[in-house]
Amino acid sequence: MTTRTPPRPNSSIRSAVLAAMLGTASVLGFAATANAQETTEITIWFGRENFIPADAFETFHEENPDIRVTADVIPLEQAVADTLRAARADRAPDIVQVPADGLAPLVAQSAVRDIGALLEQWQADDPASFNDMSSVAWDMASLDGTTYGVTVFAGPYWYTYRSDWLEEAGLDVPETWDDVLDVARAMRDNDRIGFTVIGSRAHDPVWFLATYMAMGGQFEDGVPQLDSEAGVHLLSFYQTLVRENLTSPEVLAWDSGSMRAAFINGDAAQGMIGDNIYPTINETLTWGEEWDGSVPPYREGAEDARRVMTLGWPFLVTQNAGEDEAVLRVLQYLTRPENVAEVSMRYQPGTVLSVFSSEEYNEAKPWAAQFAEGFGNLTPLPTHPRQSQIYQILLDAMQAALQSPDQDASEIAANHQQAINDLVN
Amino acid sequence: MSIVPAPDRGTRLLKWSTPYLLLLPAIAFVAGILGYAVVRGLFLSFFRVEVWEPGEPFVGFANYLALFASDTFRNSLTISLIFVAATIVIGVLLSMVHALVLNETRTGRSFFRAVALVPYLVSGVAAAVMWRFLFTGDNAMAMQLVGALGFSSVSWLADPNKALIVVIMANIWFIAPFATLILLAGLQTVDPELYAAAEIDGANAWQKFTNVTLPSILPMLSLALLWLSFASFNMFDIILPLTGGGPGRSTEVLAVYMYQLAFRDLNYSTGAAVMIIILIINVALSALFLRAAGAQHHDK
Repeated sequence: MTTRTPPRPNSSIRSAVLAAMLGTASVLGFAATANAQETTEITIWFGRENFIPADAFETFHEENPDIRVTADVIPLEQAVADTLRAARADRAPDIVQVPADGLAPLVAQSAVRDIGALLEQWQADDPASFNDMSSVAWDMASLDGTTYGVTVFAGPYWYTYRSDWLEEAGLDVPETWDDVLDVARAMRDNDRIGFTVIGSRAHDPVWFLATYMAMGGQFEDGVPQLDSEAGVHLLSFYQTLVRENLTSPEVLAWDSGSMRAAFINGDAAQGMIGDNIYPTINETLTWGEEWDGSVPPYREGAEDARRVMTLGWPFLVTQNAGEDEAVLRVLQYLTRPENVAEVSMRYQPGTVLSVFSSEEYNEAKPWAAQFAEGFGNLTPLPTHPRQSQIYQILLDAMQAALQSPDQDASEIAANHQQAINDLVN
Repeated sequence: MSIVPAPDRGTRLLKWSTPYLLLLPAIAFVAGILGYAVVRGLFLSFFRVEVWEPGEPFVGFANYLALFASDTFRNSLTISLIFVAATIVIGVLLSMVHALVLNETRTGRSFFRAVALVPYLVSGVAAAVMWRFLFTGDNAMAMQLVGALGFSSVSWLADPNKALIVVIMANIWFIAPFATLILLAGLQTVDPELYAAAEIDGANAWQKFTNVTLPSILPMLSLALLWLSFASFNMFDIILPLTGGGPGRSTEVLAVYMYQLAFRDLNYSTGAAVMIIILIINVALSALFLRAAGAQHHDK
């Protein structure tokens, strides 16, 4: 048997191929090194995928070939803890989105940094876009006068009601929380849920606090005063809902999904519902014909103290952040009206004022014009370093009121206020 | 006749050490992952590590003392003990019945065994959502059934006592299949001649079960008890999505309380102290079960 040996390439050809490969490799390597030297990497942790601009920074990369943005999603619920852990390991992102009430722990641990100088530069370079931001954009990213980022999206809760049912029953739109109870009583008599509310521990008590602030509830150094008139009134309101069967008998098990579903499915007449849920409601019910909304009612005799609470999810600049110039350009990109409008139309409303007057936005959100004034007077939910523990006590108080509708509301308030005071002092 | 030469010392050493060498990677892996976490947690529990307090001062047993002085912790401990005790008692009874039935099944045995394991294969969160659907909402099947029997159809998850019952049921549904599998494995090792001998002695079914089956599967029974107890003490992924620890704090077992402390309050050191307490309880219960099984085995 004979074996044919493949012809061996000529040695000069081999040398030429090798040289060409080495040359290409060195050129590519050089280019890569040069590229790595010139490109600034910016990592952003978004709290929800919905907050990421639809173009996923494609336009930004075209305009800024020297900056590469990497977007990750770290759920808002764990963003503060993850940022603190990452900061300890020196692996924090450059920009992180957290709930506004998560700012205090991050400041306490020096995980975020003062961006005052960046904002001055922004204001000097592009005053139009800087002045287009609502004041809450800065307020919700600030603590003790220092600004750590910018809040591009903020979500208030509006008093939401079935306008057709009220009209059918010959009732006026409630102005006070006592009116809300009257409407709820009338609805109960028609076998409807008078007021839909969250009673479980599934979430932070932000709906509870939105109602508290609408009732004129105050905070001292970020601590809610549950034993104030507003606090007692709020607990009493929750007790009345249960005592008079004005809400679901399953309220203690209701999370945000159950609460919203009751309204969307046509079971409940009223509730405090976030602006971001309005597009979903509008898919089932017709705005202006079947349902409507307004700024939350006030407590009888405390109209001036009413505040419209909003949540916010600021983009904060961490201590690990890279070049200031690159960070600033990314923040400016996030606040561009076209990007904010795109996210706002499908998700949470933004803090860029010009978006509210755009035709496209008002067409997508027919209720926007009605709430324009409300958006101008939003009050951020105050923050405290021990916010999470305070929230647990507030949930205890809320559930105590729902479980014991006949107990003295001021007693529940005093007991839980004492627990809060023990915690913070 | 040929004489086989005795193995030399090196060969004997190699033979002796081979099992240990093969075990080493697994031990190193467990020690590296779990051991580090436990040791780090133990150290952490003697310091004060909170995000809102600068520094990490050594505080000795202060975190533990604060826990035992806290009503919330004592409530969680009590809830945990009720939760675990109920799960163990009901879980082991159901698993035993289930294993006995599966052991007697001749047709489609493999299929029924696979079906029995399904709950264990479902993720905890998915199981919680499923149980939530059963007990809340307009189409809650369990509540419709209860309503049809003439009882209140208000969701059990809205009642502190009944919510704990739902959580216990969901936990048993989730973890008992594995205990069934353990007991089934034990039942299949019982020598059939023992049953034949018992029959000759005139033993009835109950006597055969108590005098033959139970003593024969005692090691597996203690393993099943071990599994039910530590899986329940560590149970977290069903309870959090199902009740969030509520209503009130009626279903806030230690594992949920630990999560609350460490990942919501960002109070890492007190969370670590709870972890160590759970670990101590688990170790104590394991020792108890193993000791009981050992003593029984010895008595035989």
